[in-house]
Amino acid sequence: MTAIVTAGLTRCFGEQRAVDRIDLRVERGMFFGFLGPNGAGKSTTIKMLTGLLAPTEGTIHVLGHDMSNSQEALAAKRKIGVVPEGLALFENLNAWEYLTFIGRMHGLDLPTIRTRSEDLLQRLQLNGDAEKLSLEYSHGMKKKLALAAALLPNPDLLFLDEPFEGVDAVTSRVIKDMLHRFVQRGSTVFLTSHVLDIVERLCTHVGIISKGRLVEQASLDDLRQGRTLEQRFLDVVGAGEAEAQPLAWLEGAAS
Amino acid sequence: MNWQQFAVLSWARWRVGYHQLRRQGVFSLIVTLVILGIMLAGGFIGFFVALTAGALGLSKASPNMVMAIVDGWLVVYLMFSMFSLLTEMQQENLLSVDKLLHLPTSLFEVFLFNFLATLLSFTNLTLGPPILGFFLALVLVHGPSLLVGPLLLAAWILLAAAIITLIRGWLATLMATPRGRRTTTVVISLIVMVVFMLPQSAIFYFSRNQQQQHNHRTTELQDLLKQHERQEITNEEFNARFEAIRARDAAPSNHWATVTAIVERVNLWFPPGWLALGTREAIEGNVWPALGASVLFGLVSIGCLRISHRRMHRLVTQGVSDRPRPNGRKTVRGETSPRRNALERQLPWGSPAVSAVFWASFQSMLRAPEVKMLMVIPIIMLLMFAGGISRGGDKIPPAAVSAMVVGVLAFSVLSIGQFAQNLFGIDRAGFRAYVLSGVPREQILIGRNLSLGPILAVVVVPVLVAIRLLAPLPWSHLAMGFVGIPLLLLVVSMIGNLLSVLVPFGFKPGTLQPASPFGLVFLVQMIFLWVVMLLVGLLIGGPLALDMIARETGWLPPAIPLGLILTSLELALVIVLYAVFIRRQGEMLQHRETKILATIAERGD
Repeated sequence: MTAIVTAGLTRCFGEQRAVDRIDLRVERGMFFGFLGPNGAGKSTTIKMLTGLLAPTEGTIHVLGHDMSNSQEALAAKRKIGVVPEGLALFENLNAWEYLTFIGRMHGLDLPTIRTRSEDLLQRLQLNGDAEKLSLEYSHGMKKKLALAAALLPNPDLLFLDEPFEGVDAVTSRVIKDMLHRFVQRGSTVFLTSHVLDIVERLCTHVGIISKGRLVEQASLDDLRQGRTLEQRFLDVVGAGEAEAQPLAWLEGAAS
Repeated sequence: MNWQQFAVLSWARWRVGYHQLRRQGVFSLIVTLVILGIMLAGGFIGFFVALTAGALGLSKASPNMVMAIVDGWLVVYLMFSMFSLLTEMQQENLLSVDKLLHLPTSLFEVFLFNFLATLLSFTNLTLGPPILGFFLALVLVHGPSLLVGPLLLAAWILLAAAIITLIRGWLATLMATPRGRRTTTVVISLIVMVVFMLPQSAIFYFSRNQQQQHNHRTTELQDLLKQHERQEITNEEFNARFEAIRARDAAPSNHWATVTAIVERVNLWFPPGWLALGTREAIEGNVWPALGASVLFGLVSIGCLRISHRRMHRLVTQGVSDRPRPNGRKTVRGETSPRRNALERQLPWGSPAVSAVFWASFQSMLRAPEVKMLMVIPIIMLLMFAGGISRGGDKIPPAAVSAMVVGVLAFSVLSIGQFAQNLFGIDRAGFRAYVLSGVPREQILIGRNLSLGPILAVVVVPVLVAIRLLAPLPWSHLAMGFVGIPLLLLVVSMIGNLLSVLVPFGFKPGTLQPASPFGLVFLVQMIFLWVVMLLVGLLIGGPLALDMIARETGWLPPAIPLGLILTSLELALVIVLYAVFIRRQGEMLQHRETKILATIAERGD
């Protein structure tokens, strides 16, 4: 069964087409990296896939559920975990409380919530700060808490919007290991990232979006064709123009 | 409807509220919890008290009295609701779509949670039981026909919850961005302030009317006595007219009838008042208005809920909060000269750095909703009191009119005092830029100080001109007021710079309240307030008093504007003092800037 299928997925904001007729196909067990320059439409796409934003046109199927049908969308949401763009944390709840909230919203019983929360907080090195309100957290800590919340219901599919941004190297390693194991058991990860190195090391498949259009979708090896992901990415999104124009005043001798 | 999710959301709501209170300190938490507990218990006890007292006493109450009681409750309810809304706006929105829709819950359920949360609000839990007891007492006293009362009440509560849900949804859309959040908070605060001032204005209006009637009577009697003394009227005529005046005064006051008529009219034209009006009609035997109002309330509630749901749906389907902002003017590649902006302007004196700090501070303050509110307040006050001044402008003693100059300057300087005494607290990011810059610190202070000038002028000038137009304010005193603007700006700046450097503090977002209101900051604010009032009194009030004494005693010819001359001399002296002190203050700022940054960023962010 495919994890995500979209057909002609489009999102308009007034005249502007933020996402333009995307046909995406992510199989189960894939570690899918969704790349694109700033403002290309990555976050809009992830919002539509997770039910935070309705598409203007097109269809979305997540884990076999049609997201345009509210009941089916609910069934899909029970099986997914999300780290959205704004993290969607409640700043005036501490980590324990927030995880309890998420667990109960997913219908988990309290002993399960406690056990899983303890494990997650320990793995993500948040156990020492679990009593603090999340507004006291650094950006990286907030990100870790959001990831813990996404993993808590033990989902089949994880959507992660820039999960490594602002996270220290040690935690980054822990998260990568967790995600690897998550995929190895047959679950799916759909992540967006600006850090191409991470995508190159983690992902099995990659999609590239530019100006709202899906310009590439392939396995990592097929996409690279013997080159680095960065080279391919720059070729695909056409970054040569910005590079070509030097700034004369910046290239003079330093004072 | 998933009741488990509703229970979890209710629990989370309580925890969020608890933590928000706890962050304000243990004392504040305990006091608030005790007050909330007392109010909730009061609501519960209020049900039985209202039921018992109503059952015993309502048989003697007139229908109009019952209407007045219900209206009183309505006013309290509306005040509570507005206050709750205002408090809620400053808190975290737990039930926002963004935070819930990726969880296994549907849009309709989120909407329903929002509505139920409104229905089970603190206002309803506190004020609902007593009025329910009151309506049940009406049933006991007036019979089953009054069962229409609780029905009308239920429809009204539904209506109130539906309207509040509608407003909350609307506000959520407006508050989607941080700037929108600040603007909305300020505008709503302003509306609440005006609404809270309305009863005071009504009292002012009524007491003024009474005073006028009393004055009229006194004048009438004095005229009569004079006519009698001058033997312009006969004894019989005097007695007859005197008796007529006494009889008119002795006649029962018709205030209650007037008030009832006004309240009745307000109830008729202001639909929430139909609760009181419908109840009165039902007591008088006509249940149809109450039934009609119940149906209408129900229909309007359904309409409001439909609109709210559609708006929430639109938020998701059209992504209102995510809509990319319309692009401003784009600089086309190859276009070498982008549009000239305010920060390119050079002040006629001062360095480019002073100009840049001045324009940057001025522009950012103009965009701050708090400053807009500051500039609106005098206009509201002007509108409220203009009527009074215009009606009695010629009767106000000239000395009192001139004293208004001192009052206006004092009020305005105190208003900008909040910015002057904490120059860097309101724009933390901006202060970071100053700290990172290599500009001499006194230039930063000069730019920041001067940027308050136009705001002070905008607040003072229209009010002074209005006073001049409405009342006999001498030109020289008006000019004194204008000279007072730069004079007081520099004086307040010198004190404010010192405080900004030594006792900085952050503001709560969207308000002009310090992030840490107690302790040293509070003490400093109080001292600043008194010092500024004293200085305004000395620097403006002093020359004004000398000017008026000189005019009264004929010590100086009226053509010589003594007050204006003295104030101008003060201004010259203060400019010299400012020039001397600002360098030293700049050094102090440089010495303490990292401490200031730590304070305003940590406590304010």
